Amino acid sequence: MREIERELIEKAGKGDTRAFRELYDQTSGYVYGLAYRVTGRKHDAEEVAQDVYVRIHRSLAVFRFQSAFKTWLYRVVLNTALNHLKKKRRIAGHEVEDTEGFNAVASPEAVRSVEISESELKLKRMLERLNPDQRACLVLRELEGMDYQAISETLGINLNTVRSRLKRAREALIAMGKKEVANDAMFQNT
Amino acid sequence: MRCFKIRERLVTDYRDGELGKREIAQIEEHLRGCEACRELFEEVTRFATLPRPARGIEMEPDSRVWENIDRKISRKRGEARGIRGLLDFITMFFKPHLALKTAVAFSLVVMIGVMIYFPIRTSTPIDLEVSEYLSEQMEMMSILGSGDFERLNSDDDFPIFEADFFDWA
Ligand SMILES: [Zn+2]
Repeated sequence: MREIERELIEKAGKGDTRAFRELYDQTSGYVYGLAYRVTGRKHDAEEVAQDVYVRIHRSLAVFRFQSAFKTWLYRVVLNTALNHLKKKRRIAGHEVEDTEGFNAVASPEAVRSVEISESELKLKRMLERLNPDQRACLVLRELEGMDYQAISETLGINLNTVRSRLKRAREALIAMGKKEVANDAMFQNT
Repeated sequence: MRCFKIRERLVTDYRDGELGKREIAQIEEHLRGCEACRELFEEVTRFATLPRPARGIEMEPDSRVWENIDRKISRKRGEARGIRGLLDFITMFFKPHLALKTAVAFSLVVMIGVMIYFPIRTSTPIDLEVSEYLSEQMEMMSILGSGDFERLNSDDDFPIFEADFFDWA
């Protein structure tokens, strides 16, 4: 995401509805996309995005630009998404899998092309295997291209925690990838 | 450097370009002579690299997302206008410091009123929204008065609006 103009944020903070809509247009793709990657469900991502903008609307007036707006926005999105997942888990300890879980392809663009949907499916499967904290770190690093410093500021965790979450995430993905390869080989031999 | 240290870097700093030239050179020197570490780095690339969609993290939300947001914030705006009008009226007569206290006192009175009034009349969804909004405002007031920003996040496990982002004073 590009950094948002200060003037636009200030206008929106003063209650200018057009400026708020403009802010939404400039940021919602990132807010929704990040929420989707972390929650894995379209429906959850929509709820998180809605929640994020209502919260932002309430607090823009007092935003004081000591940190970058982008960092703050991503932080609100991630915390809202992680809280959302926690609450969901609490409510439904044994949740019935809904139709569009991590294994389904949810984005309309992805359905249109087989090629896109394959890598989309792979991405979903990989993220599904990680815990939400690891997922958030890896997504910020690899899909958003943030460096460790930016990730640590966005998540409000220290650099070593960023490092250890990425380490565990990748080790888990490697272990599962190797297992899959071994299974495939066994399947082919029988 | 030992394999153990190298392996740690291979799945983190080295992979993510977080190292300086000297350390990169050290690691690459090690990789040339160590097959096991080389293999690990191949596995990082093969199994632990996310396929990156063309637009990166960006995805277009459905138009109903904005519609829902718009509905929620227009409603809040309407409610806020009424309350803010009253607060402005009070502020006109007192110094800011006193006005805040008055606002808190006034809020408490309204709050009690709401609590007495609403349970008797079975609440419609709109009533509930209003009372929810009022109690939210009330809590906000008392937090502003007490300076206890932690409580702004009381219903969340992760702090969302941290004091350092805002100028409450
Ligand atoms: Zn080695």
